[in-house]
Amino acid sequence: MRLPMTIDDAWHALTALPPARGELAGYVGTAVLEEADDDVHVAVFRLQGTSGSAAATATLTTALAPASDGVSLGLELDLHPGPGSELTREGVLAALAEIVPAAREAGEEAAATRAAAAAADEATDATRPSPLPAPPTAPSAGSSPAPAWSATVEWVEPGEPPRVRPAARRSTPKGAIVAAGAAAAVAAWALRRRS
Amino acid sequence: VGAAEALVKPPPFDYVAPRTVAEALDALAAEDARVLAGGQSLVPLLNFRLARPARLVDINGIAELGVLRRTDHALHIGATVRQAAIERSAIVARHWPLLAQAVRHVAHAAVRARGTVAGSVAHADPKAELPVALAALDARFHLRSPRGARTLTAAELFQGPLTTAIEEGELLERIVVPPLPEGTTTGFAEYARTHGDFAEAAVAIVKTPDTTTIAILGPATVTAADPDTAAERALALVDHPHRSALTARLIEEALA
Repeated sequence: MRLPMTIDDAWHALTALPPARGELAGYVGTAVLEEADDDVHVAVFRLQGTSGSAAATATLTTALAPASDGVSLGLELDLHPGPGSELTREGVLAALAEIVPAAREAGEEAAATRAAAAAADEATDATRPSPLPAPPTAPSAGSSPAPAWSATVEWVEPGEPPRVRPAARRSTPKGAIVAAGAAAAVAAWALRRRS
Repeated sequence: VGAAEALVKPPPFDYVAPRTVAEALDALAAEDARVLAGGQSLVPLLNFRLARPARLVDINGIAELGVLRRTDHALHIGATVRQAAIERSAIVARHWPLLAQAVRHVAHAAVRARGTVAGSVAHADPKAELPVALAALDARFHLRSPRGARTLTAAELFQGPLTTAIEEGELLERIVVPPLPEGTTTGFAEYARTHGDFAEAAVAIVKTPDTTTIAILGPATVTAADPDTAAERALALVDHPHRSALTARLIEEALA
């Protein structure tokens, strides 16, 4: 997937995405940025969702790389459908591809909000710890819907690093992640914001 | 005990859920306010009514604190990063394997799924694994309050069992772990009476081409040019013969 922007802009937009709730491939769930490697532009989102009584969980790894016409965006999905789930990796990736433009727009907006908030903070808060690198900050209150993450995010049983599928996680009774893709939720979130 | 109070386990408290660090710091400025992150230490204390804070400041809604981040080769662990996130992180596995080794010894999966790294540090249980690993890695602890920001080493932060240098109204905002030099190897070993229990003895070792650092429960850390000297100095810090023998065995195991 190619994005017509610089890698820095794409990275800022991607990692500025706040926790989101939305719908993807028929699943309603949440997407949360779990880790970001600024040095190599790889970000990992933790996804979970439900559709009826079925649930699924997923880890979406996104990798940015410079390309001749902008930035290439690589997606790697580690999907863990729970009992009764008919969600497939291909279905989720297809849905994700459709929503990337909306997610990108949401990320750019969030990055701009963050930059404005940081500038205002710098001007008014002399106690800010300047030596720290600036992680993405959630948009200020009132500029985005409340993610309500503590109420909706159920952390599944942990296992190996994201690229390795942990056997224990498959058998977890909670089961479920929403592989409804990070971006899926983000897209719905972005659309809802505009409505 | 009033009728309303008798209905729930914890004593009454105000609940605040800020969305930004600035809001959290404002909320923490109130008298007897406590931070709620994973709740794996604080909630049991509340339920047993061993802690009676006037206000709980739930920082789980502050997005920036929930991200594990590598920037300029250093690892930044936000205040609400779950222990499970450390366990499954590719960044940690590749660049700071000691943390991945240590976190697998922390309680059980359900606890690690909610419990935070910073919470374990702030609670400062003398038998907790993560403070030992972070001390061995020479982590820095970034505290912030309306009065300003400061950064402490493990030796400065941990002042004794269940006691830290974190002051009233101060938030442990982030833990920063520096990169390990090329050629570094690490090891972690512990002895616990039952699986998932707190450690009776634990050691974390960071062996660079030039030095060996050994951290033991407490945490306490020693660094020497060679492993034998470091081990000797570390064992001198253990005040109980039984624990000293256990620790010696664990050092041997972790260095192997």
